[in-house]
Amino acid sequence: MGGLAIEARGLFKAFDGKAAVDGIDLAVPEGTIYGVLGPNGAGKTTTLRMLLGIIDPDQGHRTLLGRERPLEAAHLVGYLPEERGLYPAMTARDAIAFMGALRGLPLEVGKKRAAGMLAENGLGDYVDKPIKSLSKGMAQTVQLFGTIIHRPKLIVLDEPFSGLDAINQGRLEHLIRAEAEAGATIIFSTHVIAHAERLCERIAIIAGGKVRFEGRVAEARDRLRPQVRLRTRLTDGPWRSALPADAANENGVFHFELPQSGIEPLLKALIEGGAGIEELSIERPGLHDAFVAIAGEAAAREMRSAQESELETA
Amino acid sequence: MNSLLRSAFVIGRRDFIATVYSKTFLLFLLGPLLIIGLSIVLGNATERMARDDLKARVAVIANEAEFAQIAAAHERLNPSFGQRELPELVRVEPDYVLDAQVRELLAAKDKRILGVLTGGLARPMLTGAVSETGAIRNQVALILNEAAQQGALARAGYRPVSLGFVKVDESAGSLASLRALTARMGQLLLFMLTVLLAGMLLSNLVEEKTNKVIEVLAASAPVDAIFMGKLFAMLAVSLVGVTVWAAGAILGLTFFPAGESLPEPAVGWPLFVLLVILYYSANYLLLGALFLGIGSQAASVREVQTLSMPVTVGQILVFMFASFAVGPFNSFLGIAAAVFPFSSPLAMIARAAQTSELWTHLAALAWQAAWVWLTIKLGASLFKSNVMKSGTPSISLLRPRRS
Repeated sequence: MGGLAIEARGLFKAFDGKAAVDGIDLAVPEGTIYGVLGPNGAGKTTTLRMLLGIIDPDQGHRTLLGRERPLEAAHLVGYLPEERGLYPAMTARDAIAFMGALRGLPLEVGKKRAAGMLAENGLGDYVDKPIKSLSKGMAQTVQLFGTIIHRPKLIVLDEPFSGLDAINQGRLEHLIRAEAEAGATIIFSTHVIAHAERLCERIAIIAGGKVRFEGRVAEARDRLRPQVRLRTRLTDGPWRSALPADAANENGVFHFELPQSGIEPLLKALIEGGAGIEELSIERPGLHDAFVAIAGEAAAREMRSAQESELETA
Repeated sequence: MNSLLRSAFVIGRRDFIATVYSKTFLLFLLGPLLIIGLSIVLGNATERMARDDLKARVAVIANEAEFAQIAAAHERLNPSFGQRELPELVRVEPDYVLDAQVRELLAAKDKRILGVLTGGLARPMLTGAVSETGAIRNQVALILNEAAQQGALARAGYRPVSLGFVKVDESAGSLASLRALTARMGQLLLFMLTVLLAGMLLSNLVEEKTNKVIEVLAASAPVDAIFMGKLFAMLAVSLVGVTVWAAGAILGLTFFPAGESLPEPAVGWPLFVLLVILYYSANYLLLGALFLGIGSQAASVREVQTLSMPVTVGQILVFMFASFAVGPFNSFLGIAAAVFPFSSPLAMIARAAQTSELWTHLAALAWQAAWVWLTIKLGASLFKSNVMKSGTPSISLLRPRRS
């Protein structure tokens, strides 16, 4: 603990002359759950592929578990790609063991572990069934098990929740937490902010190939002031001067950022001014609000529409 | 290096098992076995038919004494013609009406008579559907001359020359031409096996690209290891096939022996067989690595199918170039064929049949192994650059121009 599982400096990658990743810096501490957030096309997958050594950056450098050449650490890494891929004729057990063997786990050990993992997760009847006979969700589970079968120190998941129904998403969240508790570093990309908010200690928000924010989730939220929601009996009066000038009024409900001076002076002014407070609440901004503020409304809209279409698919 | 080999082994083992344990592999094995079996059986049957039924047959209308003279001359001359034997002679007792008898003999379908010889040695006449200047007429004339001359010489008390003979195992003149045949057969065997088997590598990466497994492989192993694993797996698959087919051929030849065996190669049969295996492997790996590299650039099965024809033409050109090593193997073109990596195995097997020097084989195998490695590296580099979109290949000569 204490070191960096991943460190990237100035990663740059262009396809057909267009920058897909434009000078990305990342620092993923060991033992954390780290989320890479961004809309489709933001450069998340390209970044992860560069970090893993699948492709080389045009500029910049990265270290993976202390190795300059990422593939030298392949036996310590598990990777679930965005486009899932399994040999259809292989049995579930063999597919998991094969992925482990690619990472240096002896085949027989892998087969034993695979059978155990499948059985523990209610898939015991499918151990010797070919992948082509499994449902999409089951096949994804098999691939996920193949990703962690060799007990990697670093687990890289590219859009792991994509295509999963709500139950399987919950299971995956549980599994991610369990692996983190066991000491693994987990980095995953997602365009579903809720997953990152629930799971991650640190995040990077990527948009347009650049890192817009990198740090703790709380730090991202803290970039925004808490939001005040206020409903008063009177709509106008001298107390109005206590509200910020940009306070929005929607059908008699005011929305505004909590002033730097805090809630007490505001409350005092409202009471003394006779505003007639009917409702007053202070909302701590969510990660989504922080994302909108950091990446822009357009990126947030894109994230939302991608998330909705995915839910429909699932 | 260890992790490269380990990854290659894991990938190769998966490919080997997936191929050998598939139902279609049985068809793959049976196809050539069927061809070998049919060739042996049909070859034997054809040879017997040729010997028994299709041999030229000439009826000789003559009395016994005269026919005995002609038959004796036939016996003396026949061995000089080797496989192109003299026409078979069949004696027919003279009938009263000679012309009618000749016509009847030529028309008899069951007898298959090509020509009828009448008039004995004194006034011989050949009637038949043969060319006036062709071999049959000349051969019959030769037999009759031999019979007449021997009769005259015997009457004059002249004894035929008795040629003394001492057999030696080999001479420069005889061996050179005989071993060239072994050289050509060796080349043909290597070429045919490679044409049959190496083409499979063109489509070898399509599966991984189609089902997206390539991303999993590329994240766990260098692309070189993926290529190497796939290449050696398919070599192992092909060697399983070759072993089964060779066993089938040996079994077939045990029951249906072939007429003549090939002349012994210069390095001797055991070493030659070993070199055939080594050069086959080298040839497979060289062309296989090239095909794997070319095929990996194809985006679909259709593109691979389109590539098959030019690739086969390329193999034929290489085979033609390698044939310069048959005969004058130390000529400029013979050496060039041995040095050019993709024709080197074919040229070197021809060399093994014709000269017993061994160091050239060690050098050639090392040279070919180096080119296998280089071709894999090149293919992997292009794959990573063009298909995985990793950027320009590490081999600067292939750096694409940027617009």
